[in-house]
Amino acid sequence: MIRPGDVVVLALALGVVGAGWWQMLGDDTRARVATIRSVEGETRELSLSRDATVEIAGRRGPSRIRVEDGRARFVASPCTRDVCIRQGWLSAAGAVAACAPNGVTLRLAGASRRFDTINF
Amino acid sequence: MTPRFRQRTRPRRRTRLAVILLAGTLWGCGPDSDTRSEQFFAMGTLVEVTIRAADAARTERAADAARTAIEETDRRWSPRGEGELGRVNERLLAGRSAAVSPEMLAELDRARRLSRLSGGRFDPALGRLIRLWGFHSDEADPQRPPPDEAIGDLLETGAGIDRLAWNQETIEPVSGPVALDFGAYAKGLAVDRAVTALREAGIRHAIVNAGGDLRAIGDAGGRAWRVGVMHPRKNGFIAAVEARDGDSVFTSGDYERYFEYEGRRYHHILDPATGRPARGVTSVTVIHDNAAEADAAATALFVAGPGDWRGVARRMGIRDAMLVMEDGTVQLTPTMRERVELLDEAPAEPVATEPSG
Repeated sequence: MIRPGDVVVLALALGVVGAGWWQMLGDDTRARVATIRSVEGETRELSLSRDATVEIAGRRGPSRIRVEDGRARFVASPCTRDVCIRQGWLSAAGAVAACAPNGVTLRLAGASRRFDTINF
Repeated sequence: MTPRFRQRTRPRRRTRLAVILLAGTLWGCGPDSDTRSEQFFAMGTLVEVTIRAADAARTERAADAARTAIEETDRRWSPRGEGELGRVNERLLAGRSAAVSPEMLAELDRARRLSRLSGGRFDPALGRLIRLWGFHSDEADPQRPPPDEAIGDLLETGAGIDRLAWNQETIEPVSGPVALDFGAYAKGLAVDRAVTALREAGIRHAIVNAGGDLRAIGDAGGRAWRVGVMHPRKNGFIAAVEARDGDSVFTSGDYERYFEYEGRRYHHILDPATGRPARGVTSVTVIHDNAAEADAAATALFVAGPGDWRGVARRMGIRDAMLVMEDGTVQLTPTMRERVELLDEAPAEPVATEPSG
């Protein structure tokens, strides 16, 4: 026989499970944090909730990364072809941009990742 | 007393059960703590090796082995420098024969076979043409197309796999200086080697991603590895794919290396027939069980363009392909249509590549 206490316990359990699923399967794949790494050893972590521009030293010089409206991108880097800059804004958790000549990577992370890896 | 005892314990049991179920649900679906990634730069791009294994020491050894395999492949197949292909090219460009290793001969044979199957759309002997356009190096910064006469002269005698002849020991140019460039193949080769190294190290579940081109083995822990395919023109994804054990997912696009001149984009995927960037397509994604062949096929289908890609795919044995055309429409093989979830609103058209289609 189901009693009021049982209902409360089951409702709570279902609520928490539902919240977990919502977090994992819902639109929670938007990135929250940008991690910038350089082969020179420096690592910076930025919250995407606050607009900022940072510079990190790569093997050729400074790469500049802009955080704006929950997105991040390379805006300047001492490379020739500007592949990293052309990649534009990143916003999804798991997204990566890299300036290979300067040895700098920009990686976004969030509460959950929609994809294990990205093809382009 | 007994009923009261039950009344007190049943909710506790249910609470315990609920907690266990909840924990099990979150543990099974949440981020896998046995999955680790290593990133490094090689082949002029960022390489990421993701491994799912319980043994941390084994994972580290395996990642090192994969990295070594990629770096060795990079050295051997770089068209310039002190590696084997660099030394071979130096002699071929001087119009002389060059000694080649059995491994390079085997890959030359395979590349020639793929080139012929593609009707010449994939060609690993365009080194001089690639250099003429300025797409050969990270340092080059091309600003405008080369003169038509220079392209025409090169196509006459200085480009194309059929302008090279080889036996079991040496390779030589048959009609003037020629240079090999495995840019549309070597990345796949490196990914295949890295996967082999991982398997030899006892790894069953992993992804090797080299600059966006990848091969997956095993699974992500109770589900397939999920791959997001970036849109060639927009900020975001065009498709989601579930990679099966051994799948390679390779994309060739006109956004990787290019310059703009007088309002037109000139990209690095050159049509061996015209000596100029291929037109009509912005990206080609191929799934295949061999990374090197997926790499070559993505280039070949890109060059084949909207009119000819179906036949080239059929001849190269490619069943899973997706093309984004210059007008933004998407064309897919029927099997690819079943495998991808399209995330963009562009009209998608399944296109048969089987003879009966």
